[in-house]
Amino acid sequence: MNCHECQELTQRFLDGESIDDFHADLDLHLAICTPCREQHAAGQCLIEGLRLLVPPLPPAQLSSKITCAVLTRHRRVQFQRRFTVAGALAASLLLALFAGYRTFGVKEVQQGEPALAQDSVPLDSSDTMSLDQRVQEAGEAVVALTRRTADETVGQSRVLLPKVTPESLAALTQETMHQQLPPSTSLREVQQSVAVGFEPVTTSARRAVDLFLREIPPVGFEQKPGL
Amino acid sequence: MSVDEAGLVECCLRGDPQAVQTLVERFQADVFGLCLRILSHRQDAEDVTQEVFLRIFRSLTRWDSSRPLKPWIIGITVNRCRTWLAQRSRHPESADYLQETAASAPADDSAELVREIQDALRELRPEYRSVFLLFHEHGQPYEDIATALDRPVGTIKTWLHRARLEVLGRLRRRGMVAEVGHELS
Repeated sequence: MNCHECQELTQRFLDGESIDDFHADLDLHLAICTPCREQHAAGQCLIEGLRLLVPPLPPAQLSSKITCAVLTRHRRVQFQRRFTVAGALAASLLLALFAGYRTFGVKEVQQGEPALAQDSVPLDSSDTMSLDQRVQEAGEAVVALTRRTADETVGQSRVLLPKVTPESLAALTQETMHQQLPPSTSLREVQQSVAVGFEPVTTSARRAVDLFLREIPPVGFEQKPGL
Repeated sequence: MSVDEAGLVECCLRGDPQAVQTLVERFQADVFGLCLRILSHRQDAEDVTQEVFLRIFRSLTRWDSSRPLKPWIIGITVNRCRTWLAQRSRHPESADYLQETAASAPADDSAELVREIQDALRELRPEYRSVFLLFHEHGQPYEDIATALDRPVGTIKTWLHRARLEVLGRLRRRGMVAEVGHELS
């Protein structure tokens, strides 16, 4: 056995493998090789020290504390999971109720409006109608509803206005025209007074323009000297 | 994997308190011992042990029932300790309480050897220390250590070899073993 083989055996010994089969050769080499002997002794010392190393013991209450923490967390997670599921179910239920209200609630309102129902196509035939027919029916219903609402609004607002007859309308027109004459007269007077007031100004401006135009040379084609 | 472990895990997943207690008591010594050796502080080890078990029970559904439970738990423990050490290194003011944490030292002449080995372990790099402890104290094979640390088996063997060399070097410097002419190859 050489030193290299001895070192390999020492490694196997440190790895916990059995080296009993090589014990005789190993002892022979260790007897004649001091470095290998000391190296093997160091390995044996390490293994012996590790064997004496007592594993630390956990505190007495540690397992109870850990179990309590684990179970508490488990219950909290379960509660959160149930709460989430219940919330999702409640939301689904609310959604279903809302959808049902939107679907069946509108039909009930339509059935409760006899005037609109008369204007539109009967609901019983909706199963056999095409999409265009349904859209047309909906449009007619909207038009009828709009017309009805407008008529009701106009009828209600008529109550607030005074009653107008042809005689009262004629008297009201004459009175209005009579009252409007003085303002038209006064406007004409204002126009004349403004024109008189601005006459000196306009006359001066006209003279200034004439003088300016007289100073300007007459516009015509003149051949330049260089050309 | 034993049928016992699978059944125990099933009961734990159902929230059976007795099963939870059994699982904690079965593995708490390994988890706490490893935490204490790696972290070198008893209170930290208790805190991390609790965190490890909370993590274990949270992840039990992901446990591969075709494999034994212990290496999986050891892997979680080492990873949690590594994270804790990284956090502690970012807050060095909290690391001044590191102390001797031997549960009970032998009363004979070998007490000094044990103490020197513990001190040597404390000086090792965390990954070397984890590999050394998993191999020599917890008896985990290379493959399980590689799985737990998510490293190749060759890396684990290299780390273990270096860890041994460093421990032996300290023992030589302290006069616990004789100087040798050539190191372990």
